[in-house]
Amino acid sequence: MRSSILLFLLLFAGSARAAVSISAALNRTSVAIGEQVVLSVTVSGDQASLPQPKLPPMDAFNVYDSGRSQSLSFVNGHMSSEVVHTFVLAPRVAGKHVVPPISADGASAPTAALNVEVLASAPPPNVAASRPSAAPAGSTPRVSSGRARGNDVFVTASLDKATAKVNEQVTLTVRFYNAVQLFGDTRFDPPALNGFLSEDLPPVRNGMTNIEGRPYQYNEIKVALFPVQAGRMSIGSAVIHCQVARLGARGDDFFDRFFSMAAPQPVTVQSDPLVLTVEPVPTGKPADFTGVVGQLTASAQADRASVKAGDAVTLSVTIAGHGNIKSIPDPVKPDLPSLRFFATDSSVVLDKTNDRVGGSKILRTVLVPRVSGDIRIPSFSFSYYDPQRNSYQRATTEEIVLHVSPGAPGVAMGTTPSSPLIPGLTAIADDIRYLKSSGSRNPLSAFLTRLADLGPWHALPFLILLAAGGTDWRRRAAGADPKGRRFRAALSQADRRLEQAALAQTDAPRAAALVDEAIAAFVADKLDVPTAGLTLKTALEGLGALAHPPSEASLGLLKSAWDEAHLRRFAPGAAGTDARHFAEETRKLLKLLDSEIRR
Amino acid sequence: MKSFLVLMCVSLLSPLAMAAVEAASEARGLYDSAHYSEAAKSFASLASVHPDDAAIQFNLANALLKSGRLGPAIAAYDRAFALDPRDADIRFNYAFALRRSGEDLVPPGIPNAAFWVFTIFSERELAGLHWLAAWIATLLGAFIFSSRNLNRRQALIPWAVGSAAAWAMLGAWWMGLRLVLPTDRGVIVSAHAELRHGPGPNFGVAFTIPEGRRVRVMGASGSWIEVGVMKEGARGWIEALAVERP
Repeated sequence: MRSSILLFLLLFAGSARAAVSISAALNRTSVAIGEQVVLSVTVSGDQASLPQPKLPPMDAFNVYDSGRSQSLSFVNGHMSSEVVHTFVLAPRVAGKHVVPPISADGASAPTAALNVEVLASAPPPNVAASRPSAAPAGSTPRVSSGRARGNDVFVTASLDKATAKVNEQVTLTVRFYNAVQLFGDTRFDPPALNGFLSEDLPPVRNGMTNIEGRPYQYNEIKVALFPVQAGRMSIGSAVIHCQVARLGARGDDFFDRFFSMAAPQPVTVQSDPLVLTVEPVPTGKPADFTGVVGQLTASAQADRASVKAGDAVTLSVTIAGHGNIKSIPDPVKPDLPSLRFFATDSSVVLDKTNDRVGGSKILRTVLVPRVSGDIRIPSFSFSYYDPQRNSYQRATTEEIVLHVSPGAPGVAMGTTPSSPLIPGLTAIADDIRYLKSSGSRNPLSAFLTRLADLGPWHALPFLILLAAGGTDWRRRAAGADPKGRRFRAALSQADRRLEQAALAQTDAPRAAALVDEAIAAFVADKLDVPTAGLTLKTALEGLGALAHPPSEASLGLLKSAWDEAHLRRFAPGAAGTDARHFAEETRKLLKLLDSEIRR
Repeated sequence: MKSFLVLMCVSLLSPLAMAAVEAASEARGLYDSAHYSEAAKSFASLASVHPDDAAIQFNLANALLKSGRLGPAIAAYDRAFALDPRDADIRFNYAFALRRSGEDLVPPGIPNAAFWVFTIFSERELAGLHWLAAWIATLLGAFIFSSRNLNRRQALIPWAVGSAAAWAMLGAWWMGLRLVLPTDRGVIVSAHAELRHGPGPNFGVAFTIPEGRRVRVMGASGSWIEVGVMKEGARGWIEALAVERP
C-alpha cells in the first residue's frame, strides 16, 4: 500500500513537471549591428494560466518585449494552452554570442542555448546605423526641444505632431548626441509621461551625423505615446548622465587626449520639456464607441464549420490594424442558448513596423453546441475613430454558421445537467416558447372585452335607475298627500270630461251633462268635498271661504257657466246648441280659476 | 333570403380574412427560417391592424427578441401580457426576456401574491366585469324602485346590495392592477441609454441604463422625458425616443 502511494506520488510529480514545457527559437542566427533578431519563447501546458519565462541577462543585446499571444484548445475533453512571448534583440557587440537557456516556473527543463553571430557593421556617414527612422526624409518634427548645438554632448526631444486626438499615437523621439568619447556607464532618465500610455519602439538607433561641421555620434530612442485625456499635455525632460573627456582642455595631440581620458568629467544634460495639444474625438460618436482610435479591421472564424453536438469549437475574433491594440475591448458574447460558451482568452501581438504601433488582438472562445442543426453566430462589430479619415468607422466580422450534427446521447451539456427537471429528461437549453396562433380567446373573455367596449351605452342602466327612482319618489309623495294630489289634479280631471263633451256635440243634453259634471268635479276637487250633493250655492261659498279665493268676476263667470250647463242639460231648447264652443269656453274658465285658487 | 345575406357577408369579408391569414403565415415562415428581423416587421404590420390580439403581440415580441432587440421585445411582451395575463406562454417568455435585462416578472416592491392576484384578469376583462356588476346592480335597483310588490322588493334587495359590493370590489381590484401595471410604464429600447440630470444634452450624465429595463414615466419637457427606474429607485431624464410606452 505504501509503495503504491509512493508510486502514485512519483507519477503525479512526474506529470506535474511535464505539465509545463518551454522552448525558444530565433528567426535568424546571423545579424549585423544595427539590425535585430526576434526571439520567440513558447510556454505550453495543460493549464489555462501559464508561467512567465525568466530571461537571463544578455549583455550583448538590448532586449525589448514585443508582446505575447496565447492559444487554447480542447481535444477529446483535454485542454492545452500555449503562450508565445516575443522579444526583439538588438545586438550591441560584434562577435559570437549565446542566448542562455531560458526557464519558467514549473517547466521540466529550460530551453537549449541558442547561438547568434553578430557581424560588425560600418554605418555610412550621416545615416543612422540601425533601421531608418519612420519619419519621411526631409520632414521635421512638429514639436522639438534640445540644448544648444555646439556642446560636446546634448539631448533633443521631439514629437511627430503638435496636436493629436485622445488615444491617437504620437511618436516621441529622444536623441543623445556626443562629439567626445564617453566613459563608464551612461544613464538615461526617461521623461515624465503623465497622462499618456506609452509603448517603446525598439531598438535604440545609433549613427553618425555632422552638425555645424562637427561630427557627432548619436543614440535615438523612440516611444509611442497615446494621450488619455484632452488638453495641453506636458512631456518632461529626458535626462542623460554620462562622463566625458574634455578634448579641447589640453590640446588635440595624442598625449593630451590620453591624459584627459584618464580624468573623465561627469556631465548631466537634459532636453527641454514639450507640450502637446490633445483634442477630444469629435461629437456624434456611436453608442458603442469606447475610445479606440486608429485604423482597424475585424474578422472571425471557427476552427471548423461542421461539428457534433457536445464537441468543442474554437471561435477566434481577430482585430488588426494600427492603433493602441491593447485598448480594444473584448467583444460581447452573443446570447445564444444553443451554445455554451467557455472563458474567452485574448492575446495581443504588437507590430511596431515603421514606428507605428499596431498588430492584432485575438480573442478565442471555446464553445460547445448544445443542440443539432445550423447555428448562426451573429456578426460582431465595434466603432473606432479614424484620425486619417477624420470620421468614425465600424469594423464588423462576418456571420458564422455552424453545421451541428447530433452528438452521442448524453454528450450535450445542458444548463443544469446535474439537476434534470424531470427524471429521465435532461435540460439542454433555455429558450423562449414558440409562436402562438390568433383567435384562441375563450368566450367569457371575449364577452367581457366586448362589454368593456360598449362606451356610452354604459350610461343606460344609470338612466333607467334614475327614472325608476324618480317615479317611485313621485308615487310615494302622492300617497303621503291625497288632498293635495286631488287639488292639483282637478283641472286635468275636468279636462277629460270637457273633451268628451266637445266630441258629443250632436247629443246636446249629454254634452251639457258632461260640462256640468266637469264643473262640479273641479270645484269638489278644489274644496276636497264629495261631488254628490254639491250645489252652486255651497260651491260659491266654499270657494269664497278659501285662503286664496278666486276673484268675484271669476266666481260670476263660474255661476253663469254652471247655470248655462244646467239649462242646456235640463232645457235643451232654451239654450244654445254649439256644445263644442261651450266646452272650450268652460275649459278657459276652469283654467282661470285653477290659476287663481291656491292652497 | 337569410342565407343570401350570410353569403354576401362571407364573400365581402373573406378577402380581408384571407389577407390576414396569408400575412400571418408569411411572418411565421420568416420566423421559422430564422429571418427574425423580417419576421418582426411582418408581425409589426399585423399588430398595427390587430393591436388587441395578444398572440400577435407575443409573436412580434418573439421575433424581436430573436433578432436581438431586447427593449422592443420586452415592450411587446408587456402589451401581450396586459392583453392576456393568464397565458402561460406569454408569462414564460416575458419573464425570460426580463431576466436578460436583469429584472424579474414581478416588479420590485410588489409582493408576489399581490402580483399574481391582480393579474388574473386583463385590464379589459376587469373593465368588462366591472361594468357587468354595475349593470346588474343598477338594473336591480331600478326594478326594486319600479316594483309595487313589497315581497318582491324585499327579495331583490340582497341581490342588489351584493352586486353593488362586487362592483366596489372590482373597482379596488382595478386600482390594484394599476399598481402592478401602471399606465405610465415604459421600456428602455436604446442600447447604453444615458440618463441625465436634466432635459437636454447640456446636463451631465447621471447614470446609464441597460436596454430592456422597465421604467416609470414621471414627466416630460420637449423631446425629453423624466423616468424613474423601478429596480434601483433612481430617476433621470432621457430622450423620449429611447423609451417605448407599451
